[in-house]
Amino acid sequence: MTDAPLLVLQGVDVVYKHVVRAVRGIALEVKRGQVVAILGANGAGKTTTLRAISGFIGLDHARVTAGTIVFKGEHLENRLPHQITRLGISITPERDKVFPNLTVSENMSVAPSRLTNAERKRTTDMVFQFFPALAARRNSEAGLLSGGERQMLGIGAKLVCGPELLLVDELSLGLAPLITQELIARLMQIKDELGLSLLLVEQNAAVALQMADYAYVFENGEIALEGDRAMMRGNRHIQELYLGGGAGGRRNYRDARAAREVRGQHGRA
Amino acid sequence: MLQLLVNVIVLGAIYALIASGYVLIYRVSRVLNLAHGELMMLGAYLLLQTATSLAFGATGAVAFAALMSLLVGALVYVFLMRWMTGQAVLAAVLTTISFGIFLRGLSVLTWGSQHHYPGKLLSVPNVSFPIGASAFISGVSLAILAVTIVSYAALFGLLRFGRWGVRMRACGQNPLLAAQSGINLHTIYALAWAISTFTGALAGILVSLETGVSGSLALIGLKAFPAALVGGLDSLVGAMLGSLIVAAAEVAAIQYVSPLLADVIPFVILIVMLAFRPWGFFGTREELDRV
Repeated sequence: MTDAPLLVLQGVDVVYKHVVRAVRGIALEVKRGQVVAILGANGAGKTTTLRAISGFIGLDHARVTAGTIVFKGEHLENRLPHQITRLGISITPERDKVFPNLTVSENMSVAPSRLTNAERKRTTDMVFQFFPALAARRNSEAGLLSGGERQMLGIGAKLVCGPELLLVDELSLGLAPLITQELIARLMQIKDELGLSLLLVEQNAAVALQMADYAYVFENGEIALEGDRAMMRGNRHIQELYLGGGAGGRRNYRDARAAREVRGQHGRA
Repeated sequence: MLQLLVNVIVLGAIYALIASGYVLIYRVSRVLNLAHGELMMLGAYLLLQTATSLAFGATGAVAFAALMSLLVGALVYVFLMRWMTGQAVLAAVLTTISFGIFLRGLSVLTWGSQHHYPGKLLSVPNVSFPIGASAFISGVSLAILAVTIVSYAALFGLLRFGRWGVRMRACGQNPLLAAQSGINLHTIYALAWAISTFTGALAGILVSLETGVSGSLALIGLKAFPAALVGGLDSLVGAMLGSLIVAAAEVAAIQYVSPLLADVIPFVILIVMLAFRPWGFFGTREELDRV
């Protein structure tokens, strides 16, 4: 029972506006306590996959048209975000992750929670303790925060909902390396403290492989490659394409030929 | 002169009470509810209905009609506006316009086109109180003032400190993030419609106690729309200020130019405002392209 995955996606297709297929046949899983990363270039379908898990609203004009998304035995396909949050999955989105006209404390308390009031208070205190920058700005509007502080608040406000699985879309995007390192350290501490599982979407493969136990590489809406940390680190093409190393000098994310090579050599695991 | 001032304040209070409904729904869901005038009128007709068919006495009849309107607002969302979420804003606004026309037709069918006086049916005494030497204010006007002040205080308190009020503000800012935070958007929107219809109906009920109810009551509701827009559609403070501006212009025009201008002036102000500062005095500028 303890080894049963927390979240399992099988053959998931997502279609936007009835016609545009964003991802096809996505199969991935997150085990309890695991950190899983989704890597890939812009438009590869990473965010779409995350959003398929956390739920679409009418404004998104998106639907899961095939496959299953199962979390602790419950089917999530095309449920509304607030229902999914109630089951124990929260998401910190890439953009607009805080309510800019609400204060930091209001952002922390606005969401309904799965926790009891006491647990909720303890989590709130813990977030303020791990991110002292937030505690200092408790009463200022979230719109005035820096990018790093917004990311902290975006994550903190979701922890208060009491998730078992936290989805984070682009943890490092737009942040200075030093801030990113601090965030990673804090997030990993919080994860251990709360026994969370994490599913990260990252363009920065170095950041992802620093945190993740297991990673999936997305390309054009499909999974091109997957493996554990050691396998990802050892893979020459991952090195060249996503870690900026290797002999080929700087390469573009959209280097389609090299990407096809990757898929040709490894196939779908 | 003092009487003019009293008239401005009373008219301003009526507009402000109605305008708060436009503001609340706009602020929470970015939808312009152009059926608000008709919903306000419906509140007055509900009072007429409770006055004629139930032996409640004046207070009971008013309270029952107001509570019914709370329900009406929620039902309008659940059965009509809910299906417009995720659609273009224009589609939602057009839906409210057609719903308003439907309500007007329905009210003529149900209550006829003649003028009714629920105040007389309930034998509500309408005494005038002297203010200073030369001015008077009616008891109903005093009630309107009081209700407006209490409503605004309650709305401010709710949006600032209430758990559900903060959630309403969150939904207005970013519905997707609100939903992802576990907030049920439908509950919040239904709540906004219920409260908005409730305050609108209160205005309709109180006005009808003094001047009676007919289809033309909806026009007063529509005249409060310029008041809401002048202040800025997403600002309660703006709605109060805008209501006073529109009321002052209207009273001055009636006094010094011609009473025939009464129904024109608010819309003249609306046009001027749309030309020079379409987001209003206190409104959020960036939201404009969404209407």
